[in-house]
Amino acid sequence: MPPPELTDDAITEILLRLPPGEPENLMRASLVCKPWLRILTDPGFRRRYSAFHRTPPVLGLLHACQVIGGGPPPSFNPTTAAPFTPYPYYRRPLDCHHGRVLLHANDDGWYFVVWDPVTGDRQRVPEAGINWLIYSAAVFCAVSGCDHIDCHGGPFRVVFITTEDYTDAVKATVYSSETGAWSTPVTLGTDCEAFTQHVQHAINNGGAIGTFYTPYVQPRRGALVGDEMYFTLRWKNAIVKYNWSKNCISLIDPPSHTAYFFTLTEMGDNALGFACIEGSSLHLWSRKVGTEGTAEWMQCRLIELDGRIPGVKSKGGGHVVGSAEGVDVIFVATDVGLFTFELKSGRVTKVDDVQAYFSVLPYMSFYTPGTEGLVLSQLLIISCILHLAYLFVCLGLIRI
Amino acid sequence: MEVDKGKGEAEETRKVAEADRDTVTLKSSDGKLFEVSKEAAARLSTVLAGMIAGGSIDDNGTDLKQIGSEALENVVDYCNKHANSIPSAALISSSISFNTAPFKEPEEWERKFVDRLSHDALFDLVEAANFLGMERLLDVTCHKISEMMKGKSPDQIREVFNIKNDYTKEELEEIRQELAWAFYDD
Repeated sequence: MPPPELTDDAITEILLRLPPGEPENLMRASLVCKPWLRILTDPGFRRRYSAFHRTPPVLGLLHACQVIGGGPPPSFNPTTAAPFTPYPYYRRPLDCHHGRVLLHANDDGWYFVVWDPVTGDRQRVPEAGINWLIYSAAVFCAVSGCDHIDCHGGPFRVVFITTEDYTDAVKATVYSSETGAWSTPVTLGTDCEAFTQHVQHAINNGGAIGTFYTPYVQPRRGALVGDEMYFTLRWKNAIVKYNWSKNCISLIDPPSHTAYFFTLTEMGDNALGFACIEGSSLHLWSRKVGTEGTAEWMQCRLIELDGRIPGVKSKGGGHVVGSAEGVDVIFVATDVGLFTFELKSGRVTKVDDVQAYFSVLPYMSFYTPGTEGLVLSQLLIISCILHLAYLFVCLGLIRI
Repeated sequence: MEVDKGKGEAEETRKVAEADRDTVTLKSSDGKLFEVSKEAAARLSTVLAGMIAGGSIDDNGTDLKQIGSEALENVVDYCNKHANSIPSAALISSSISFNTAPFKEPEEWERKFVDRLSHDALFDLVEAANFLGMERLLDVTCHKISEMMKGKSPDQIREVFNIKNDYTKEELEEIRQELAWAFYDD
């Protein structure tokens, strides 16, 4: 006896539950028969699929590496079987958010590229007009009220923060894809009391040459929390807060001044997170903002890593170089390689060789049939036309 | 008018009696009756919850014409087992997390529950769970079937689902070339 035939509704429920981290299963399913192809390539399916799984999987890793003395050429390593469109040649990766990658390019002068590795869409963004010395930047979806689960192709913002050459001022600005313009840059200055204290501390404690202190923006991936982007300064791990919707900048204290290497992240519930390894322990902090605007750091996790991640020893040896927001994964670089550490299960996986990382940039997106937009979509159109023709024949509208 | 009033009262009395019972009786397409705890039915099935709240539960067995007796027995069995299970730590969401994924892996007892089902029974149970709006049972059954699909070629999947291939050879060849990456181990 053959198994009972399932209704389209039941098939849809089953296909919805294929894991997003293994996109090849969805692709194979689309080849089973045309009704399945129709289900899988329906825009409604993609909406339901992304809403069901809520957090997109990590499809690949980009590496922001230290390139002093000549580093390896930028590469994009897929972490699933799904391929990407060709990597724009020799561009420096700066950030990934909301299905987009931000690259800094230097062929006919400097400019930015906002690239969608799945669809291949590339948009050119001009430089911000600041004479940068050292910098970081971020890209994200600009649609207010968007849940950012699956927002390809819409308007975006690019935030650029830099230590300006010659003036040594920390400046930030935001680009809008809708207006095609950068905001007037704002400067972290003496009107911010925390910054004044920070400068004084650097001068009094050997962080300056005489009274001359340069606040170096660290070229690491920032954290996006609501309308704010957070980046770090080298001295004492100070954190720069840039509110891109109000175009204002300030400085906040980190939970640890001594951590040599750390990563800022978004912890969910609109909280800024701070992850670092001190000794052989992973420390995870969350910044809770009270109703009156007061904020304090709370240590939410302390995990012993000695013996769990190769290369992390009691004397140190591991750095948190990135995090994949929403999937509870952090990236740890040691002298043995680059590892993912899954906070829930404690599972450790080696994902790359040893490199001098600033940040690991996890590219996260859903990958469903038809996303890449080629053969499957064409087939679907043909099959729809045939389907309609069949209906017309049945209704006697076409005679054959 | 008098008769109508009497009827109304009787109906009212029946409804009150029905509301007092802590089980509901469900009738399969082949006429078999099953009792299930009202609380579990209302909690696990949006359709049954709606029927209970709307007073459309029949004391002599609510007709579920789309569901056969074997599938309905499994539905009731699942409801009873669910009522007796203690949620594991995995089902209690942690307040300290980057974010929590909505899908929760099946519990050990849920795995065992679907593992013992025959292929046909599993498919029938998916339909029943979908019809009754039983989100958790859908999760557990569909998860099991999606595991059966993993790593399989389209041919093998067609066999599992008893589906005929309606692609032409040329169409399949074209897609396979385009999506070679999805067929690396064939």
